[in-house]
Amino acid sequence: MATVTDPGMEALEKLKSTEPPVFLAPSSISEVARVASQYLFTKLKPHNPKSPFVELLVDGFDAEQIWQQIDMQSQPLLSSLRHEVKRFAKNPEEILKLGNLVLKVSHENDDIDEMDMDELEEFLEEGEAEEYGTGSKNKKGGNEKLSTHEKERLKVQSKIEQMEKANLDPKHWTMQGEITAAKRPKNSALEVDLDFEHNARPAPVITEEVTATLEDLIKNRVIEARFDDVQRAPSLPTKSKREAKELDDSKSKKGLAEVYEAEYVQKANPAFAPATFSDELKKEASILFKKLCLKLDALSHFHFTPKPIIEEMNIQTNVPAIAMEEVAPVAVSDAAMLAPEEIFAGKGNIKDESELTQEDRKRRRAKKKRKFKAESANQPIKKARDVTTENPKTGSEQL
Amino acid sequence: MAESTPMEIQPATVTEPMPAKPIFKPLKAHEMSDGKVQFRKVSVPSNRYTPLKKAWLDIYTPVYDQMKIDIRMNLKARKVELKTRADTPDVSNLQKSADFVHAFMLGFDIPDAISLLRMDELYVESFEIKDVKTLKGEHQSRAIGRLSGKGGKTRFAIENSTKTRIVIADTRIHILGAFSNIKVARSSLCSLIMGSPAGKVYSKLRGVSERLAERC
Repeated sequence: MATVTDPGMEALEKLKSTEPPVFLAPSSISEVARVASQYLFTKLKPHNPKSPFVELLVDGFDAEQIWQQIDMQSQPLLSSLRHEVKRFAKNPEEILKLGNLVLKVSHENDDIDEMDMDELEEFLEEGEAEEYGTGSKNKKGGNEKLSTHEKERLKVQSKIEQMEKANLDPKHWTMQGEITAAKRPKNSALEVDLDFEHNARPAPVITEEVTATLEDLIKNRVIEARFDDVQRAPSLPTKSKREAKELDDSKSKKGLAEVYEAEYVQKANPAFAPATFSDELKKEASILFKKLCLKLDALSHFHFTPKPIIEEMNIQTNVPAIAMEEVAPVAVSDAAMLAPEEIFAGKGNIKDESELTQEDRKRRRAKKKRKFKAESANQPIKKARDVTTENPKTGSEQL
Repeated sequence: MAESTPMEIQPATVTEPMPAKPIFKPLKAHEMSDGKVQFRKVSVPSNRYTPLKKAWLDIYTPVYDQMKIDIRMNLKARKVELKTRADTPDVSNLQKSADFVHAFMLGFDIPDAISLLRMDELYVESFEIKDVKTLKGEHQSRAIGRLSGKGGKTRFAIENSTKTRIVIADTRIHILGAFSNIKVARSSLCSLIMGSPAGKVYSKLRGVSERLAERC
């Protein structure tokens, strides 16, 4: 066979000679490999007549497709080979008869090993393992003299070994107790049936059917005009809220007697009790709200809204009606509007020092003089009289 | 004897008007004990001397005008002396006035102390910190601090919620108020002395004062 020289064989030889690291680099070696595989395919064809391919189709096919072709051919071939090997294991004499073929097959295996498709390698290894398995079987078959008891013991022994190994080996993560996502392999939890109780009800799966039924329901209700959803009954307040009592931590302005007095009045006659702090607050709030309402009314419509009656004590000034009709602006005070004669109620001729004439001054001086004269004329007479009246008194007392 | 004269029946009981029940007016103060005047003396501690001088008119007027009790300051003996008058309406006035002056000496304000004159069921209770717990040095000063609180906050809170008045004079504590109210105030003060924080005392006070308000 080695003497046969054709391109397929040459390619095979070439592949054999190349170093394994070269396979990794992209080069013309793929071409060579294709030729070699094609050669091998055609060589194996006669052993597998059921194969749909006459020869390996290489041109325009990628590695995966080529591999599929090889796979389709080699699958039945391998099974038939397995069968053959089993047959030979039963009666080893036949191997000698067909030594030639076995040699060829082993040779083939070697060749295919060299292929850049690792999967094929694995496959063949499997085949070999099968061979070895049968080999070991042969060995077992060799010491068939064991008694049933010994067989039993062997079985038990193997079982024990298996169990010990299982005990010693690191356990699966599911049996290790508490574990986090970082400690277990990726996506490993997907395959495990985790049996634990969920606290919440699983969310309903919303499918198209569900939405369709819901929509139908709503549509039906709209058509029937049936809007009778159950209304939530308002929870009635069972008790009035207890007023939170605030501790007043400032010095009380009332004396102790007044405090007790207020308490007594509250007890004796609640109607006359003075307003508490909260009452005053309420009153103030209502006044504020009324003010706000007035402003809002004014904004919302232009009709006249009467001012609300605000219960507040105010000083009523009895202003004459005339004052209301005064035209003067509000900013001007009444005092500024008085006439001069209203301000100076005295005689009409009032003049400043600079306005006085010579005669006026003379007149003023004369007047002053007359006044003084009159006064000085009165005083001495009075004094004299007083003396005269007092003297007799003292005299009488002395007497 | 055709004319039967009706038997003269004298009524069994002659309705003679009973003498009217005598109405005795209560004895006046000067009529008791053979017309002797009754005295009370209240000593003035040195620290209350100046306040007394300042507030003398506020003390004098109600005692003299309303209670009809003579009152004077004895400068030599450093005592306020009170004496019944001929027109004193009630003997108890003397004691009330004495209590009023005494309360002022303890440190209560005049408007608070006047309540002793106006009401009957008010008392002054005094105790010391060491009656509750023996505290020394810093512990004692801290206890006093707890009692009054920051700016007297705690003291005022207790006063307002229990309707009492409290005076904290060094280690002595005086409470003025009605009997049940004094009890509440005292218990909260005692728990403060024992070391409970003010917040806890407040929350207790809230509950107690609510109950007190419901009762009356």
